[in-house]
Amino acid sequence: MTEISSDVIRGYNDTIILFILLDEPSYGYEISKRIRALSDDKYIIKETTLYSAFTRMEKNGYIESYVKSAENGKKRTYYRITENGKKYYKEKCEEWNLTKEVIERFVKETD
Amino acid sequence: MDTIKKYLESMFEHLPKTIEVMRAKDELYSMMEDKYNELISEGKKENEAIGIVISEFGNLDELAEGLGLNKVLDDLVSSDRRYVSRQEADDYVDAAVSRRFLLSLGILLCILSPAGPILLDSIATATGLSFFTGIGVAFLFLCAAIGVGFIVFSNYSTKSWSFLNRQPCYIDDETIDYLKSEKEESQTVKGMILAVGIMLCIVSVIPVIVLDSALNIPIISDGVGPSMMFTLAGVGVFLIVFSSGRNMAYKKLLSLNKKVFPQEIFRAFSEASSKSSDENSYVHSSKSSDERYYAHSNKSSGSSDKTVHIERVSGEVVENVDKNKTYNSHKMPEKPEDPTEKKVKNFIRAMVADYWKSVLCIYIIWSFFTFSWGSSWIIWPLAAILRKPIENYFFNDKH
Repeated sequence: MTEISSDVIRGYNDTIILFILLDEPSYGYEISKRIRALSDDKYIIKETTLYSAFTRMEKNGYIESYVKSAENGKKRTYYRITENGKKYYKEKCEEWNLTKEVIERFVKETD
Repeated sequence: MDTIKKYLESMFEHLPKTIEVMRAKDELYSMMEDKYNELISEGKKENEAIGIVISEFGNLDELAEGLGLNKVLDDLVSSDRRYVSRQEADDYVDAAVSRRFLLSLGILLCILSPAGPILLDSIATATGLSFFTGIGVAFLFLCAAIGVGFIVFSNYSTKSWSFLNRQPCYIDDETIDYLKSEKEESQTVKGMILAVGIMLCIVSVIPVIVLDSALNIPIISDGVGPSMMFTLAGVGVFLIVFSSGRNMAYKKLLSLNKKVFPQEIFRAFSEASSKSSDENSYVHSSKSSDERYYAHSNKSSGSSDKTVHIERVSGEVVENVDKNKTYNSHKMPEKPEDPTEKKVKNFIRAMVADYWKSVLCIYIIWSFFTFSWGSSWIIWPLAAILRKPIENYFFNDKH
């Protein structure tokens, strides 16, 4: 079975996370769960990948973090998207559309 | 869940304990915990759940950039730090408290010692039995001797913990949280003991004044009054000195992670400069008893990544060690000092480092030469109050 290449997807982890945060603020595990569900279990994001994306995007001002207690009293760091983040997300989507369009032209069935 | 915790602990073992790293560890743990709990609630077996969580954890290298780490630092600065467990931390606090107790007791006995001759002298005068005077003097020397013994011995009682000063050590998050809450809790007791101590020192003069004016009996006004003053002042000073013992032990343990030793910086630095030999970089380390250092870096031209990283990281660490300490990466090297001036400075610094022993010396010399036992005890409360400023002065503003 083919597996997703981490090299290729790396450039789009930010896009994936920002997509989830567009709906509502969320926290680490919930985000990873939704990525998994939305990709039909085809992409399971690693914890370290997720966390490094958080720190990077927070530094760049695409997301903001805040602490909120969950129903069971556990303190969690939630992330929400910023205006900058929305702009960045849009740019990334355009970039992907272009990339997809270009790569598509070089993909064909072979035997 | 323990297995996951241990796994994470071992992954982070060799990383420096900066705020960013600690935060990353907490966040990762939180995510793993959520995942584990959900897997268990889905009916997975414990082993299975642990296997899945660990296999999906990923790779720490991914974090390095975001945490401001680089290879040089992971490999060198913290790899051989000694781990101090919570149990050990507890033991250390106990040892430090009992050491402080011995020291305070020694000081108490020293202050108390002149009360003997004063009281017994007045009894001798009142009764006409001169051997009371002899007993009084014997009491003075015995008391002072035992007191000095305690003070000197207190220094040795924590000898086995001296590695905390000499060797780079670290404590884990759990211990940090635990110590912080313990410190918080002990604060009230400390304040109360300190307040009572100061109060006793102040009221110690009351018996002399009251008894002197109210009664005209020599044995009371010359004997009981002054000896009560020494007793009250002695107990007061005892409480003042003892009060800060526990707190200081917590502070010391909590500062372990932030403390960076010159040799660590030097090692990291020499590693980096050996990798980029075209650079004119050097570290000047000066070590004193509170582990201070300055890292200088002179760059003639273009700087390599490695060196810049170390400079930045070491800069942060210095700030953590003490906010008052100045760090200046472009500071000129120190001017060579005049040798006699240097000797005097070193002597004073050694005296300040062995603070209580120095105070004891001054107290004994002053008291025996002037024989003003009535006023010389004041040195103890003064010493207790002035300790912080004096230490700050000599260890922080040397330059």
